[in-house]
Amino acid sequence: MGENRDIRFTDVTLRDGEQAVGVIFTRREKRQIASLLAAIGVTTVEAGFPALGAEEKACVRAVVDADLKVRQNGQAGEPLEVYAFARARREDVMDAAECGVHGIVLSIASSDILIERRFQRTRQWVLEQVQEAADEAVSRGLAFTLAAEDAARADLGFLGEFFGLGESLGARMVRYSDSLGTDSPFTTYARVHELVGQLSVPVEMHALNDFGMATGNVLAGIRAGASSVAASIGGLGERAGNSPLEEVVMALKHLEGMDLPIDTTRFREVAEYVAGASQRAIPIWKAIIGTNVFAHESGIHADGILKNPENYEAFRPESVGLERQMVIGKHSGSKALIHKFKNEFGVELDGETASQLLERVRSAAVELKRPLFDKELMLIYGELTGQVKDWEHEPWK
Amino acid sequence: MAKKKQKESGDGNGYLQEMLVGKVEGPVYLDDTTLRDGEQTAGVVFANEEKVNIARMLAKIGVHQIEAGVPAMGGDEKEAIKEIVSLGLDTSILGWNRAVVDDVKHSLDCGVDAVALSISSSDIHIEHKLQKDRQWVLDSVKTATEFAKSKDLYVSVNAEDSSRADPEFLVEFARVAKESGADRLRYCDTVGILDPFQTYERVKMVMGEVDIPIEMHTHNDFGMATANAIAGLKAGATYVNTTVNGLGERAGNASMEELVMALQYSEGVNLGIRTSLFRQLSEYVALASGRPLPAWKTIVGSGLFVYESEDRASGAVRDPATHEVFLPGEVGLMRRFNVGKYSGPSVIRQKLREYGYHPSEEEVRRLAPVLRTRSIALKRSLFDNEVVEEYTALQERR
Repeated sequence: MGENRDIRFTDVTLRDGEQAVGVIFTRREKRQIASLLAAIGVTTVEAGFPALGAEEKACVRAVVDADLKVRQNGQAGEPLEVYAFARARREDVMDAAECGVHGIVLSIASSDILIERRFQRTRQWVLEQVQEAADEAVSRGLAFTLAAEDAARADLGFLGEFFGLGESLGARMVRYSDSLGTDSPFTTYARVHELVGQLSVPVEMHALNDFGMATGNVLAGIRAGASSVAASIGGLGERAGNSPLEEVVMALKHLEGMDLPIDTTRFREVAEYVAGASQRAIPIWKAIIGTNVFAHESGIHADGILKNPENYEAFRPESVGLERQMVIGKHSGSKALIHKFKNEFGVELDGETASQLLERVRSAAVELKRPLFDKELMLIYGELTGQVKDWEHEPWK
Repeated sequence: MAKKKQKESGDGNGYLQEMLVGKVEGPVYLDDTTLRDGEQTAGVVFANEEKVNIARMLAKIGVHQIEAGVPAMGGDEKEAIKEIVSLGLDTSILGWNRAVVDDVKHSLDCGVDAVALSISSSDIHIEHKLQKDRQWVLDSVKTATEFAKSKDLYVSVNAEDSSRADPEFLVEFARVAKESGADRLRYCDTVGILDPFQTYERVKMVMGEVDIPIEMHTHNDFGMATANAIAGLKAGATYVNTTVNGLGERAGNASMEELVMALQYSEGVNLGIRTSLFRQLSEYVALASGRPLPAWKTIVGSGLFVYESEDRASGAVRDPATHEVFLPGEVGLMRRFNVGKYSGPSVIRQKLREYGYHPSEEEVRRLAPVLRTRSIALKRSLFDNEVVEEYTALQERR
């Protein structure tokens, strides 16, 4: 995909992320999230939607006033770019301007289904709205990204015209939003490739995860020539969410070999903060940052990991701020037991003891319907070797 | 071989034109592995009764094959598989095995009609995990497959870690599998390290060399399990290995719900699955696996058809098709409206209407900022009674 391409990231956790049902960030949380994002090297944040009212304006202003610096390669450098979201209408632009943001994202529907059925308008009306809002932004000295909502279902010819208008009005970037997650990677590629060929302004990918393909679609867009990604921490967003920033960054780094100036070692930390503020716990199996991603239980996998972590790990746990864990349960094999007892308890098991122990461990795990705690393992071992005789101590009986 | 190989570029750009215009042609068969790879997840143990219930539900929604477990584990596992077989479900029951004759004997004890025979195909696994060589791998494939075929079992040979295998060796592996009588080859992206373009290219390459049906087995380490499975199907694979809720080791497997719905809505391929039972099945597996479903889980999350922001709700009230690709009932969910920070007149009006109130434009206009402030202060969406309370308070003030 080209190792030295410059890919930019616009984090939308504070805006599209907050738009998730039931999620509300306080002013302080918004500022803290922005500061964590700047600290890991994200250059741009979409801080909110000022047209919502006074409280949201105060939130956006708080992020602006924090005067954050983007930290890359171990040094604080450029100021964090703070953008605000605005519908393509003059009043929204004025609301955003009041917050002192560096730029705005001007968004409007681009698919006929939304234009006709939601707004009962025409394509011409959409272009006029863009013109009006962009003029307002320019007259206030605001940089702007022109976002095509529902671009995935839009007529490609119209989308070219729409983005072309944005380019001629001075957009610094245009955003291809797959608002309902209906694209697949190959359709994304074909469409974005066509658009990139027509435009000289950079194209940004924004993909929703309704069918579980957001990250695949973003990668496809980059392969097709897009050079920026709008993503959110943990994929926070409406319905099934956005493409998660951590997935996109790790995939670009590890699967496509790109060198990106994002400090991935703090992903878990940032995601935990966002999880707390959004009151949405990170599922333990969440790709990249879930605590179970580096937990190994099954005999085959655990054995493979012990021999060489690369057998089952595409990157090291430390690279995202996690740790590897060996879990002993129904699927464990004797090698994992021997390893665990030796390294963690300082007990050398011979093969015969290990296989007897394994049998008891498995049946206890099935009965308890979970892996065993270390204490339970030691008890079973004690019972097996005759060191523990009191059956009362069997915690699962 | 030379001709086909020219097209594989390694970076996923081989066959580019073909990928962009191609569609999944089908037929596509679903082989669900919730009971095997799903249960293999660290921390997950199904009770035997739960395994049996899940198998029944999978058969009811119409999966074509159920990967029921690992007979060689013996004990409870074997009992559960036997019981599943004894139900006489209208679907194939497959037992998972290492490519070892003794393992297959355990499968035979259980009475399954199909087996997966799994063995590593990448050098990294062969050298570091198995500590053997390629020839040993090929010999194992041959011996185990021939044994299984001699017992009239349907055989899926699993090339573990296919995505990191040397492509030429993978082809040899596939050829040996086929020549030994295997019915299909499972292409495993065991560590989840492919993107859809690379997946397409690699699967296409194997298919061009060896005439054997391919099954996709993908992992979600980088969030692309579903996209990769579809890419493989697009390249011509005909089987796909999924789990309910994407349950599986690390970040999980391709999720059945996602795959079925994505195939239907982005590729136009209908697998004939009873999707209206998805939410029910997902809830049961969530409970049995001790992994609650996030409200934002793709396809089946309880929050997917909840409307809160004015932008979305105004469209949904007028015409759900503006924001819904499929109807909530298709996956066993319902549409709901919530009043929160991003809500405006459409949601407020809708919510009050549900309680028999018909507020005027003026009332809604005055209520909106009150509700927004309250929602922000509480840092959550409002309960219905809170909305009603504010509305009645407003009426009383006038």
